[in-house]
Order: sequence, then C-alpha cells, then structure tokens
Amino acid sequence: MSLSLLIAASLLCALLYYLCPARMRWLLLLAASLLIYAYAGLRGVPFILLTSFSTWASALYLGKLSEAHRAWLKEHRGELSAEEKKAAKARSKARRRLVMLCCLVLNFGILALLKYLDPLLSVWTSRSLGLLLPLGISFYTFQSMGYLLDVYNEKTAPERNPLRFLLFVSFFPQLIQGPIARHDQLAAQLTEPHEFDLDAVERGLLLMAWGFFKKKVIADRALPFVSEVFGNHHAYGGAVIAVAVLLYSLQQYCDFSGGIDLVTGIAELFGIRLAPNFRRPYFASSLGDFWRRWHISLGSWMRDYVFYPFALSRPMSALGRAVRKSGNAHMARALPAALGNILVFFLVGIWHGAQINYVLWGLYNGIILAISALLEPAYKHFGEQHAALSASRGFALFRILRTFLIVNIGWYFDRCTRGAEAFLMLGKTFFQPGLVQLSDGTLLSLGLHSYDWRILGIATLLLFIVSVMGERGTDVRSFVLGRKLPLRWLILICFLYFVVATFVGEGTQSSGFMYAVF
Amino acid sequence: MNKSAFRGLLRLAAFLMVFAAVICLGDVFFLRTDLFARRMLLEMQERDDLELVFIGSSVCRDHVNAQLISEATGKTAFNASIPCLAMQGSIALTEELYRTNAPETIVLVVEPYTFETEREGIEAEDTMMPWLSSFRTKLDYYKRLVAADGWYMDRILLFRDMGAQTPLDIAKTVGLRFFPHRTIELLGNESRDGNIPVTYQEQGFVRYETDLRADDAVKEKLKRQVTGWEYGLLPASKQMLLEYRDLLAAHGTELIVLIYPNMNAHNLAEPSFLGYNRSLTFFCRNNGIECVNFALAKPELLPNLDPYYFDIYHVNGEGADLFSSAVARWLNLRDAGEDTTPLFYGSNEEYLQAFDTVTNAWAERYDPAEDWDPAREQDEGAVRFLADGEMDLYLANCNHSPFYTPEYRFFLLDGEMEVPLTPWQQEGILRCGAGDLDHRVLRVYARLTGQQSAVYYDFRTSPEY
Repeated sequence: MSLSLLIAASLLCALLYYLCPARMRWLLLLAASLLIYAYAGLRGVPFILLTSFSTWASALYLGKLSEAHRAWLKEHRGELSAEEKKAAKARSKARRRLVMLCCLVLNFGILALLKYLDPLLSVWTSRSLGLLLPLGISFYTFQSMGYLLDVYNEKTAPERNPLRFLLFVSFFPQLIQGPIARHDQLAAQLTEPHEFDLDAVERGLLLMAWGFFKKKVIADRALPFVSEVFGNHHAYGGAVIAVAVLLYSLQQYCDFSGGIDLVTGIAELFGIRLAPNFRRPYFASSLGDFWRRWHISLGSWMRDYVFYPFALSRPMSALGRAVRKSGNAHMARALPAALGNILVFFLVGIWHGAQINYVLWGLYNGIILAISALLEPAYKHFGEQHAALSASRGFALFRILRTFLIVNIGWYFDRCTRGAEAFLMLGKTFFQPGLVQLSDGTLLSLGLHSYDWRILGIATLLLFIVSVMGERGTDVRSFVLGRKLPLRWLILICFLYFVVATFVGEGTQSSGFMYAVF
Repeated sequence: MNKSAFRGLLRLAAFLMVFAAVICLGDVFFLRTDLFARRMLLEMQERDDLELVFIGSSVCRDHVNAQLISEATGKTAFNASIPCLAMQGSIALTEELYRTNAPETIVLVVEPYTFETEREGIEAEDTMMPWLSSFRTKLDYYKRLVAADGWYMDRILLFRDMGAQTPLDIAKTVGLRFFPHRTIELLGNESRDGNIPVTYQEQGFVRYETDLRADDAVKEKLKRQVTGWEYGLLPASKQMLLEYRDLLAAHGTELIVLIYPNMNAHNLAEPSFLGYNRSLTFFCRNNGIECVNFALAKPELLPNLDPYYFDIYHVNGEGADLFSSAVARWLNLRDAGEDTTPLFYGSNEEYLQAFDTVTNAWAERYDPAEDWDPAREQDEGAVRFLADGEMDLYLANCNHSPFYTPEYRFFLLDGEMEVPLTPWQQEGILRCGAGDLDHRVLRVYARLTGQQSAVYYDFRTSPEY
C-alpha cells in the first residue's frame, strides 16, 4: 500500500469515525483495520486471524485456569496443608505453562517458518519456496505474545471479547512497523468512545506531516546513493563508503522514525496515543542509551520478556552466586546482565533476518554492551577521578560522537547483505579512503545531484534543530501550535510548502518502509 | 459540536484554503518557463489563420520548418510541438489549437517513443500545462495523464519538477504571463541548449545551429543488442489515437500520421523500430487514418539525414530544412492527387536491401562467465569452443542491413600506427594469448563484404587503461 493511499484512507476513516455513533466507533476501527490489511495482501489475513484467535483463546484459558485454581483454594480454605497448597500451585502452573508454551510455539513457529525457511533453504539447497511474509507479522506476533506472557504472569487480565482483541492486534496504523504496543497501554484506548478534539486532531496532522517529511524528503532522497554505493562498493573508496554509511544512518532513522511519527499521528486523529518508539537516538551518550532511545517498544519487549527472565533465571543466578564467592560483587551482578545483552542482541539480529550480517550486527552490539557492563567500575572510577572533565559539555559531546561512531560501524553489518562485504567496506573506510572521490564529482554521480544534496542539507538541518529543541525538553508541536495565528500559519505554510515542493515523488526511486519487511 | 470546536474547524478550513492558494501560486508563478514553448503557444493562441499544423514532440519542433513548408505549399503552416509530448499532450494541445483556429489538416508527427509507452514524460506537462487557456482542457489533460501513470501528486504540483531555481525564473514566468510580448522582446529569440545555440523562428520552429555531430554518440550508444523489449503499440495508446482521430473528425480536420525517420544506425541497432512503424501503418490503415512512413522515404524524396544529427535523435537546422522540403514536396504531390508511392520503399525489407553500408562497429572482450548476447553475429558454440581458458577472445560486430554480410579486420593501435592483427575476415573474432593484449587499444574496421569503405571502432582492452 502506498503512503499517500494510507494517508488518504486514514483521513477518510477519521472522518467516518467521528460521524459514527460513539459505541460503534471501535467496530469501525476494526473494520477499517481489516480492510486495509486485506488490501495490503489478502494472503496475510489468515495469519493475523490465526495469531489473534490462538492468543485470545490461550489467554482466556490461562485466565480460567488461574481463576479455577483460586476458586479451588478458596473452597478448601483451612483444609489444606502447606505442602498440598504448594503441590496444587505447581500443578496449576504446569498446566498454565503448557498452554502458554503451546501458543508461543505455534505463533513464533509460524513467524520463524515464514521468515527463515526460505533464506535457510536457499543457503543449503539453492531452492526457494517463495513464501511471502505477511505485512507486519513480526510486530503483531511480538505484540500478541507480549500480551500472552503478561496474562501468564498475571500482570494483565485476559480480554474476553475476541473482536476487541482482534482490534488490539490489527489496529491499522501500528500494523506496518509498530510500535509494539502493550495491552494494558493500548487496548482500553481502542474501544473508548473518543470525542472529537480539534487540538488532538491538529497535533496528529502536524505529526503526520513531520513523519511524511522525514520519510519522503529525507529517507527516500538518500536512498539512491546508499543503494548504489552498497550495491557496487568495490567501485568506491572508503570515503565515499563512509558518506554512504552516514546517509544510511540518516535514511534508516528517518524512514523508521518518520513512519512511526506518521502512524502515531494517524492514531492521534482517533484520540489514541501510541507508545513512543524513538527519543532522538543520535543524541545518546552511550550504546546502551542509544538502544533505550531507538525502537523503544522492541527494546522494552526484549527487556521484559527475554533479558529479565534470562538474567534472573536459575542458571544465571547460580553463575552470579559462584562469581560472588570469588569476591567480585560487581562481576556477579554484571556477568548475567552482560550475557543477557548478548542474547538479546543476538535475537534482535535474527529478528531482522536470517542472514549472517544481521547476526554479526546483533553480536557486535551485544558484545559492546556486555563489555560496557563489565567495565562499568572503570568508567565510574574515571568519572570520580576527572569529575570536572566528565561534567563538561565537551565531554558530553565527545560521548555523543563516540556513540555515533560505534552505532555507524554497526550499520555496515546491518546494511551489507554479506558479512564479508561489511568487513571489506569497513577496511576500505579506514585504510583505503580514496579521498579524491569526494571532490572529483563522484558524489554527484551516484543518484544525488547538487539539488538533492542541497535539499538533504536543509532538511537535515531542520531535523537537527527540531531534535535539539526536543532534547531540551520543548514539545515542538505545542511550541508551533501555541504561537499567535499569523506566525503559526507562516511557520506551517513554509514547512508544508517545503515538504510539498521537495518530497520524493511517484516518478522517482522510492521505497516502502524499511522496517515493514522485518 | 460546541461553538469553540466549530470555530476551530473553520480555522482549520481557512488554513487549508490559504495553503491551497499558496500551492496554486507556486503552480502558476514559481516555475521555470520553457521560453520557446511559451512563445509557440502564445503565437498559436493569437493566430486564427492556421491551415496546416504539425503536432509532435521535440523531433517535430526541431525538424519541421513551418515557414519553409508554408512557402512551398502555399498554406499557412504551423509547428505546434512540445518536447516529450505523447498522445495525452497532443489531444490537449489540439483542443487549445481549436479555441482560435480551424485548420484543414493536422499532421501528427510520431516517433517510436510516442506509442511504446502509455505514459507521457512529465516534462511535456510541466512545459505546456501552465499555459493552456481552458480549465476544462487542463482537467481533461490531467485526468488522461494520471490514468496512465497514477502520479496524482507529481502531476498536479508542477513546481516540483519545474520549480524556479532563481528569482529571475520567477520574474520571467510572471512577465510571460502578464506582459508576454514585452517579456519576449526583452528575452529575445535566441537561447542555448547546453552548448548549442538555438533560435525560435516564428511559426513554432526551433532551429539548432551547430557543427556538432553525433558520431561519437553513435559509436558508443547505438550498439545492436537484444533487450527483449519490442517497440510496439500499446492498447491505451491506440485508443488515444482513435480518440484523436474522432476529435479531428468532429472539427472537420483531416489527420495525417507522419512517422518520423530515425537515424539509420538507430533503425539497424533497434530492429523493432521498423516493425513498430509497420504496425502503426497497418493500424492507421485499418482505422481510416492516413499514415505516411518517412522512415521508408527513398533518397530521391529525402536525402540521408544521418550526417545532420547532432545527437542520436535530433538534426540541426540544415537537416530540418531538408526534411521540411521533403515533407512539403510530398504534401504538394498528395494534394495534387499524384501517386506518391514510388517515393517510398514498399516495405522494411526493401529499405534494408537498399541500405548497403555499415553505419558503425564495435568490439568487446568475450567473457565466458557472462550470458551470451544473442545480438552477436558469431556462433555461440564456436566462440565457447575457442575460449578454452588459455586464450583471450575479442569479438567485433557492426550495424548493417541483414541482406549484406560484413567483414572485419583487427589492428593494434600503437600511437598513431595501425599494426594489423588479422586479415579481413567475416567471423569477427580475434584470438590471442591470455593477457597479451591487456592495456592496449584495438582498432576494428568493419565493411560490407566486397566494398572498400569501412568504419572503425577503437576498443580499450582494459577499462582502467
């Protein structure tokens, strides 16, 4: 589905939403979501229905098992010994775990089958089954499984209405590339009868325009250069490759966060607030900080459902105790966390795809985070020894640049299709820069003309200014919408005119959302 | 809905209207204007005496000298052409023409690119749309364009492609809209297309005066290859041609479809051009449209235009005069009721039989790992047999009529010296030890067997050389 069609469908849907009787509005959202999903690919519909229904039924059954257990305890209050209570709890838990595992295996199994079977087959047998990945399957599977685990852990109550749950899974703005919402944060909002709120609608429209700007003015404009250099890297020196990586950094951020801004804005048209997924990641002062600002919903999913369960698991606790016995209290705490980070990023790498470059990219990030966790006392010691330096602006800037460099080295692995290519390009960047290509016109022959570079420069500067304002705590939308009418209109018209005049249009190379394929 | 929400909605609506007004302003004034297109349209809009109108793309604009044709035919001719124009634009331009004129004859000048795509290049719309007089014509034109390519936004926001780059561009556009004659007087008749001086010569004709020739472009670009792409008539294009026929019939205008002659080397490199011409001729004949195929014009009507091309598509002013004279002569004979068929070859085969020279040649190093290019004239099995891994193979080919057999001779270029490597041979294969000719320049001559005159091509055996 094209971006303009998605926007037009969203606006139409918002109009119908407020014309519809209040108690029917969530049903309209559900119908629109399913219709849009079916339009994007009819073959994906059975999969989303299967995930929704299996998760809804499993969660409901988990809830009933819990209720039954509690009722049984209540019925036998005062009659049971501690051992009998413990045994009954263990029986109930085992049954609940079985239900939960069955549902997890089914849904992650479908995801794995569709996502990894073809790439693995093509490696081993040079054959392909031509399996098509349904739109947003990673996102709705993670969202559904998060809900299932929350019900299993009794953090949230199971949803009794299958249609309401289907809406939670299929709500159309977040289907394409997230964010991965939590049931307790989103579900109630979806079915509440929101009244028309012009301020919210204006804020939503502005956010949609900002997302469109990031995606269509910046990301899609950078795309041809990045594709050309990564596709024919042997023809270019390290300096051009470095420029391509920097542009990829910009492209990926604007593509993903622009898409998220767009869908968040669309949700706001209906009075629904999605969880934030980005918080200006390139201002991060460490890699850990970066990942707390980038794709926040996936990070928190991994933290809650992988990292903590792993780091607090019995083997890790035992490892921690063993290390503590040797007298290193920090290591006892940090080692399980370090291993947890490696595991999490290994899984995040695989989540991106079955190719080896994604695994390498995940391990690169995980290992750096693990080393950082282990070296934390050294950093702390340095901070104490050089308190003035550590608190200085220069040092803060240095940390941001250092993080930016580390992240960008990681993007070599993320963007290359083969691991060996990433090493080759990285080597060229540092040892064969071929600086002459920066000034001999090469940069103007790779899909971006001087006009494109100027547009990219202006747009990136605007993005930077808005990001700095956000980083300083200014709500930029409130800032703009709070100005007096003439100034507000002037700002908006200038911005919108710039977007309309410079977005990468239908007749030019452009792409769908990068994260939609994950 | 409460009062404040209602006021808010009104405010939002007002904002959207102001923004729409700004966009309209951009679409009208913040543009670069093709001065010659504007001049042509202005002249056409201000005249009401046009009898014979030529409509087409750049090959019409630069090749049809309407003044010369007027003098030769005694009819008031006009060249109403816009670069990249396809059928959508032709219909819109003709509707604009009918606002002030009622021509007897319209000659639609077509090239292989007119019907091989249903889409019209956006440049044509950018150039013409702002200057059309009728909103309805503009709307119909827009609808036809987006029906073919779905570029709803790009097609409506003209300033995106043709946006002003300097304040002078805006000043020119404003001037051409409000004070067109004064502005045209100020801007003059001359301009430059790259390095080539170009002059607007009344009646729509744009004259290129240059000594540049397309020889290098022919050598490098017009190498015969099988791309799998066949130039043909697409259903939507055919439908638009029929609509065009009906539009003219409704105004009592006769329609002539004139197939523009490509450069000969182009016809040989892309053989489906000739097939396309034949299909179009049949289609016209079957649908009551008069069609004349100048690609098959004999030298007694139209001399070989190849020497006048300054790129592989366009001829200079001298070539345009030759072409226009031929068209005028044909029109006069036709109007006099004379049989013009002897002035044309009867078929593509006849044309090819008469074409007894090699236009250009090329050479390449054979790479066994690459897919075999079926456009090569060598036998694939023989080449694969010869390339046994120990030897390098170089292959020579040329553009020639299939009714003749070419022959080749390889030389090694040593400075200005030509060192012969092979005698004349029809295989076009040079075999040498692996790496023996690396970092050298090979010169390959090609000619038709039995002829003396030959063309050559210099091939650098290593790209980095």
